[in-house]
Amino acid sequence: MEANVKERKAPGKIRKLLKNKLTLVGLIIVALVVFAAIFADFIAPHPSDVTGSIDFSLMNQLPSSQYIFGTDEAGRDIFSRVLFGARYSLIMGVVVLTVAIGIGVPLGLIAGFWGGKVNSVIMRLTDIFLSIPSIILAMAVAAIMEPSLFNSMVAISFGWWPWFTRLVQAETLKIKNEQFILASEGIGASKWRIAFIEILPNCLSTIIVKASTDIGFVILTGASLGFLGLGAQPPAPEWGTMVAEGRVYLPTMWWQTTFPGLAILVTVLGFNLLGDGLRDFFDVRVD
Amino acid sequence: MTTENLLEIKNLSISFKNGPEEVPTLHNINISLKPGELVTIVGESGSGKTITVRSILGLLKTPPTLYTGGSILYKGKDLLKNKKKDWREIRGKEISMVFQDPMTALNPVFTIGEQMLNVYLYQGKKRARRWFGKPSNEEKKAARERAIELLHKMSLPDPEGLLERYPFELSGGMRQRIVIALALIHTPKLLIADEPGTALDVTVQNSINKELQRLVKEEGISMLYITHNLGVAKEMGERTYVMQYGKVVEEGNTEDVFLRPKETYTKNLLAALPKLV
Repeated sequence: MEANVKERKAPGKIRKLLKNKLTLVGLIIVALVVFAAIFADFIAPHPSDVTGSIDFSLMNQLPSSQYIFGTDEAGRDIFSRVLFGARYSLIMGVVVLTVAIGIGVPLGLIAGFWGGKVNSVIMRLTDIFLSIPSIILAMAVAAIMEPSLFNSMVAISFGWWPWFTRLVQAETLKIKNEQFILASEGIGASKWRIAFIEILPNCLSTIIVKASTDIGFVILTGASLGFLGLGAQPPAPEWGTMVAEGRVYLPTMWWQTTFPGLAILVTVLGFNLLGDGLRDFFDVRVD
Repeated sequence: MTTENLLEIKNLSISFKNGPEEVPTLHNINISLKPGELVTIVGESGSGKTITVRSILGLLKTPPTLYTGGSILYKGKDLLKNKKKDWREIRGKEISMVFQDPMTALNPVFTIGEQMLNVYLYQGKKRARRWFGKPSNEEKKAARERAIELLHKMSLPDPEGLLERYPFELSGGMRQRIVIALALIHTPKLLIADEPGTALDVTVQNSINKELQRLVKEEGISMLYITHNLGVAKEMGERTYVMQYGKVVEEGNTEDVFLRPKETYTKNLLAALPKLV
């Protein structure tokens, strides 16, 4: 095998990425969460419990071999619900970041590249958004709208794009003074081409790293909104919503909040570890 | 009157805005160039060589740059009056430029092939074409052939393989050759070389200059070569302009300027050359 692996090809790079044990742990966690989200229908022992089937004869059971995370106050299997909950969290993370990148990156690029008044307007707007804590902003927006998973994603995206604008603006300012930009201008490239085809690819690694560390925080914010009742509504097995539902029983039935809570903790940790690993991987200085 | 000159810079004056003040930087520069001619501009750092040539391609940001007088005639047309649209026809196609530092003159995230082919396929095309159009296979093939031909002419080994490489995999000398090839891909009428050898060591600089000289002669391109190195200036140009403090202090046939300098500044410059023996 070793001899077949060519120099500079992907396997060598992946090995370099995974040399850090914590990154490997992060990757495994993320892989498990993604696996759970995709195959929840097949691995969950009681899939019908997710949609809200109620069986009071099974309520509030301690974790056992049949219900490894126990059951909740409506007799639903918490393990199955946690597995399905992974879907909500992943969708939340991916959609919010896609929207945030879609809005934030072009704005940052335009602000940094055009400079002057355009830069001032965009960056001051960004500052205004950043001056409000994102969870408060998201709560305000979510509270205006009907509480639902979709609306909570809109609310979080609303507060998330400025981070990307800032990041890309700073990166653009740095890259636009490089000589190859002047050279491509001298050879006839238009401003738009320079911005989106010459500069943007140079920002990609920074954007990827930012996105991979952010996804954990987005999931956390999503779960917080769920906990506050502003996200997915019961009986949807969203982790934050599940924690909120179990909160009332916390002193006696600890498993109802603990397992969804642990799911949030482990998932966020996994994404952050992976994100850190990616940052070191793309950062040439840490070698 | 101007038809025989390919490029004629007439009484060009440039100032820079520094807060409320204007700092005059170039004073009544006159430089002309006939088709097929090799002209060098020599001068110490800060004498205005780079400003002069960048103004030819409209690469100076206005503000802070102010054109306070004069004109730059290219084929009898004033480049200073150019609109954005007009530049598309000039840059890369009519006039091309090679920059000083080859280490930063190529985009690090694209392969050499992608960069060369993109310039060939998209430069000067209409906007809709650049964003939405797909070049045909014949065009791609032609672009590839042109790129390989130029790399070959710049004496680069294995041009085919080079197209797949990223800039960071290549040495400074190779990169500078590629930058030159990139500038010549549309066979411009005029090549501006802004100290292309300065960042390289002497032997590499020498061989690149030789190839550059041969190539522009072969393709019938005129060249404006900027350098602070008097030895290089003597090798490269048929005519030489000497600049100091934003003024042209002496001009003439290279031979005359170097062997029979008239101005004290030129004499001082020549006297400042380190003697090898």
